[in-house]
Amino acid sequence: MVKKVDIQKELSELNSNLPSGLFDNNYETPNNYFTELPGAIIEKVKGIDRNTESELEFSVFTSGETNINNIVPINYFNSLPKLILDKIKKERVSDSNRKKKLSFIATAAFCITLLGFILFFGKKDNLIQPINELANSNSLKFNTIRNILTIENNLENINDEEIVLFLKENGHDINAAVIASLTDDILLPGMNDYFCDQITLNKYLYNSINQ
Amino acid sequence: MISAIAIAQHDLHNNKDQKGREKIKQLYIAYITQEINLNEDEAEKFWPVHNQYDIELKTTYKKDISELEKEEEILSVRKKFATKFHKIIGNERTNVFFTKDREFREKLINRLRDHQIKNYKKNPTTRP
Repeated sequence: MVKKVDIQKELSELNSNLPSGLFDNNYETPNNYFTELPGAIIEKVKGIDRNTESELEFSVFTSGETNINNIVPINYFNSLPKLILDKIKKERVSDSNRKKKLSFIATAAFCITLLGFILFFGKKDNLIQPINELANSNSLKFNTIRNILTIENNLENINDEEIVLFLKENGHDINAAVIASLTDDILLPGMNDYFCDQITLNKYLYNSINQ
Repeated sequence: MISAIAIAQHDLHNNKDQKGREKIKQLYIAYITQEINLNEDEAEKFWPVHNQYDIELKTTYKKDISELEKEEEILSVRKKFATKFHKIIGNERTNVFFTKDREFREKLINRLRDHQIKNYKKNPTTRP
């Protein structure tokens, strides 16, 4: 290959019209570029990247003398739009995932609240609803029936009038039934009442002694 | 206007009564199902027959006949349906059913009695 100096010399001898400085080197390599090159290649092979983007940016904006073409990685500007698009897509995907999670949590919370309301407010009447279904149709929610509280507890919540009507419908003479079931313990004083009354106490003592 | 309100109140009262009786009926079904240990298949056969039994008994109660005749008729209805129940739940559990049926009514009467005693103790001027 012919050396640059020789070409210049030859051109001046030929009295050429070509402008001088045409073959000046516009591209300068950084200091110690070639001395550090083998080490840099080995580091790249090993996976250690010395020239990070931040380092590049820093060198671009701080050293005015350095040629930008020597610092920016190969195909940097070609791949830049793709890089930006990828970043935007990732953010969009993460945003949509976050929205999905939030909507799922909101739906779950709503369902739990609704269930709570139904159980709390609808429990009393719905407790025996399956039994009604049983009476009117062939369908049967058997386990629900078995879990019903004791009959006495449930009867406490029913009015006297309703019970009377039910019994009358089923052929009971209510007054007779209640009177028959009543013992005289309502009319008779209790044990304590005896001792409160001095005359009764005297009678009781007199009778018990004489017996 | 007044008559409309009166009719509405009457309807409301009737609905309330109906609801109360319905509640007791539901409790009765739950009680019997539990006491005679009905399984799902048995229950599906038993309750439709029982509904018929209930209707026939109520019709008999309403008949304008002498007390003795009424009791005889009720007994014949019970015997008739006892054989039907027997086919579904067997002899032993049919007997248990009739016992528990009576016990349920006794529970209702006891519940009335207990409330009347409580009321009497709160306010002795009200004689049960």
